[in-house]
Amino acid sequence: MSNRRIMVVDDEEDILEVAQVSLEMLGGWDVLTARSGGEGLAKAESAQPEAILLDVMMPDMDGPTTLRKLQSLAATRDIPVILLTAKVQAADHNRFVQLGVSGVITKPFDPLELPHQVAKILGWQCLAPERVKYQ
Amino acid sequence: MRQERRQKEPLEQEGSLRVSPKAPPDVSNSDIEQQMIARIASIWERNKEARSSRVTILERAVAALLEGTLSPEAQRAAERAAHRLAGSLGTLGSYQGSRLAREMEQIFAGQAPLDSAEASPLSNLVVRLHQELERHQIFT
Repeated sequence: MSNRRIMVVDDEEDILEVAQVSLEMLGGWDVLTARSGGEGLAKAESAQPEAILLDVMMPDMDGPTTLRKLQSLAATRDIPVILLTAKVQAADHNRFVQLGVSGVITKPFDPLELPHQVAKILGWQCLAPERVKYQ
Repeated sequence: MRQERRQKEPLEQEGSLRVSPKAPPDVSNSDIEQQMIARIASIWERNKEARSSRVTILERAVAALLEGTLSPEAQRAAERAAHRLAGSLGTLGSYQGSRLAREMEQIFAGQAPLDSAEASPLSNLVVRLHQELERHQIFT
């Protein structure tokens, strides 16, 4: 069976690299990366990832604008999108959900938890078992 | 089998990257987590210069505010630099650094021009942020 394939779109190199390592090693998934909304759109059309993790605040083309463009294209409109955002207020969360995203993950995220958060939203399985929570 | 974790350092929050300079290796992590943390440590080292350049943007903005010459463009650039630092530092396990950067972001997000009364707290925050970046390590 082929691996799941997910794309991460974020202009912040640290976050992009950490997310990639985390999703590959703990999720066991193939990870594509894009450093802008425009690059993400192009890769989504050509590579057809099964899901996209999309940063909200990016220069040039922000996450919501990228999302609308993804939703307007036949080739990408059915790809589930999870927004990555530092905004945590309930109003922001509700606004993002109304945009038609599959879920919202807040930044900063814990790289040991990220694949499990993604898996729960998408109904996927992770390679690594979920970590034991310590108090 | 997992073992009980050491007591957390005061600056640590709930989270899992081992971040304190006093922290011993955590034997409870599985091999795959250890390998992942080693890769994250290499990301921390590799991107140090980019983080430093963002701190420099903040330092210059604070200096300009002290001199009364902070432009709206420089203020927005500082807000953006602080935002990026807050996200990346937290993801790399520097929760204290992330909090400091977030505080700076919130101040710089205020209406331009910033009140000169913000210069002192911003100056204090940027010094602490610089110190945090110097001391932060990811143990592998």
